[in-house]
Formats: sequence, structure tokens, C-alpha cells
Amino acid sequence: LKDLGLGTVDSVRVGKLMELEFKTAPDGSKLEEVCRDLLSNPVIEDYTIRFS
Amino acid sequence: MKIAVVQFPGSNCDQDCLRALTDGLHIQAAYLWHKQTSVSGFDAVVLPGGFSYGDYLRCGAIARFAPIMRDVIRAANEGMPVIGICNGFQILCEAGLLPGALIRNQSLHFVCQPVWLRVETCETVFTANLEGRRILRMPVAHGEGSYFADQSTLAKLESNNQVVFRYVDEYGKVTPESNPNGSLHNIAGICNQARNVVGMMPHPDRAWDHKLGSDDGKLLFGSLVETLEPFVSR
Repeated sequence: LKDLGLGTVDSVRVGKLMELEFKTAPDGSKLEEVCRDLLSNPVIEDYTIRFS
Repeated sequence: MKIAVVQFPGSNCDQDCLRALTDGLHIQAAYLWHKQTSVSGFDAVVLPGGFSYGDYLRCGAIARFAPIMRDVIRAANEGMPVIGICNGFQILCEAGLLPGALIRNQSLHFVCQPVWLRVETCETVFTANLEGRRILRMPVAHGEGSYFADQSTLAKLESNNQVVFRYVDEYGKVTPESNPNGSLHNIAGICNQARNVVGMMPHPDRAWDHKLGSDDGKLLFGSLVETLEPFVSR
């Protein structure tokens, strides 16, 4: 990155981003459950849920 | 006695497992399709290697929710012997039947090679005949076989004697060079606390005849048969 002229970069993170679309807002605890049990493995991964 | 070999879409060692049992050990075995919902009629379950559901998301993450797994988990919790080999081990960890997880090999490469294993405990139905820290030869073939667990889980596994197999050199010594994937503590296989569920990355199903380079894999299934036979009324 620095060689390409982005000398001011402080950190880089590569990770998984999963985008789920809903017509109606999902139940928050169900969403947590799905993130914990399927979309991530808490033994080796962390997750954050963001709405936009 | 009759042993179930579960087939998920993407399993590719199902036939090896079945042949190891039927041709190698002359015991009854049959496939159980992932959409089936019961293991009744079987005395033990094998989760074979492969790439269940394409290994999408994480290895074993989707297979864990297959219809058959609900009953496999129930049966395992009631004491039925269950062995997960390679992808099967990953599925058992994802299902929470075994602690920890299997992550990308340290080398980042798929490894496919014969390894030496030391049997660390004969207190499982799959290793009951293998006293005296026997050294076994069989192949590994995986991209995500590096065993990981947090320090407290690891300490618990060690103190409960739940590490079943460790990667060693041909003299039985634990060395970094003999570890093909960067597994913590050179762990190649573990069991649950009740000792009826075993997961291992190496393939006993690919080592049940001298023509395959080794028949050490027969010893594991042989242990299972000898341990279970007296209790099976069929």
C-alpha cells in the first residue's frame, strides 16, 4: 500500500462481511442466535451486527 | 452390530469408510443420507471426510444443521459411539459435540501426506485395544486441520486425558516437524468428556489394507467392534 502511495495507512483488516437484506426488521435475539450459531464460530471468530 | 456412515452432499470419504468397515472388518455398515432423521437401528455413527455442503461459510458449519445431525447429537449425548474423520471432526466441533475448532493449516497449503500418530489414551471405544502409546501410520488430507482451542479448554483436554492422538515422528516423539498443520499441542484427535465421541483429522478409512500403505486404521474400527460386540444383541 505504501508503495502505491498510500503512505498514511495505519492498519488494514481483512475479514468476512455478510449482508443480509430484510423487508421487515428481524427479531434481534434471533439475529444474535444466527450470528453465534451459524454465521460465525465464537471459538475462533468475533462478530458485530450493524444496521444500515 | 451395524454402523452408520453419514453422507452429506460433498462427503467424499463415505465410500472409503463403508469399505473399511465392510471389506476391511467384515461388519455391517450402511449409508445414512443427511436428510434422514434417525440413527435408530445403528450401534455407532461415522461422519466421513470430504467437503460437506462445499465447506461454504466454514468447514462443517452447515453440515451441523443437517436433519440427521439432530439425532446424531441426541444419540451421542446418550452415549452412542460417534467418530468424525477429517471433515467429520470439523462437523463435530461445529456441532459442539467436541470442544475447539479446526482452522486453516499454518502453512496455508492443503496437506496430503502420511503421518505418524501416537495413541494417547486407550480409554475410548475406538482405541480400547491400543494400549502402550502405540504409534500408527495413516494419511492426512486437509486444508483446515489445525486444532485450536483457548488455553483453559486445552488445559482441560490435557488434564482429562481427552487428547486421543498426537502427531509424532516415527519414534513417537512430539516434534514441530511432525506436526503437518500447526495444531496446538500436536493434537490430531480428541474425544469428549464422556469419551464416546472421537474426532480425528487423519484417515483410518484410507489405511485398512497393506495395499493402501498401512492397515493401522483397522485397529480403530477393530477396537470399536470388540468393545461393542458383547453389548449388541443382533
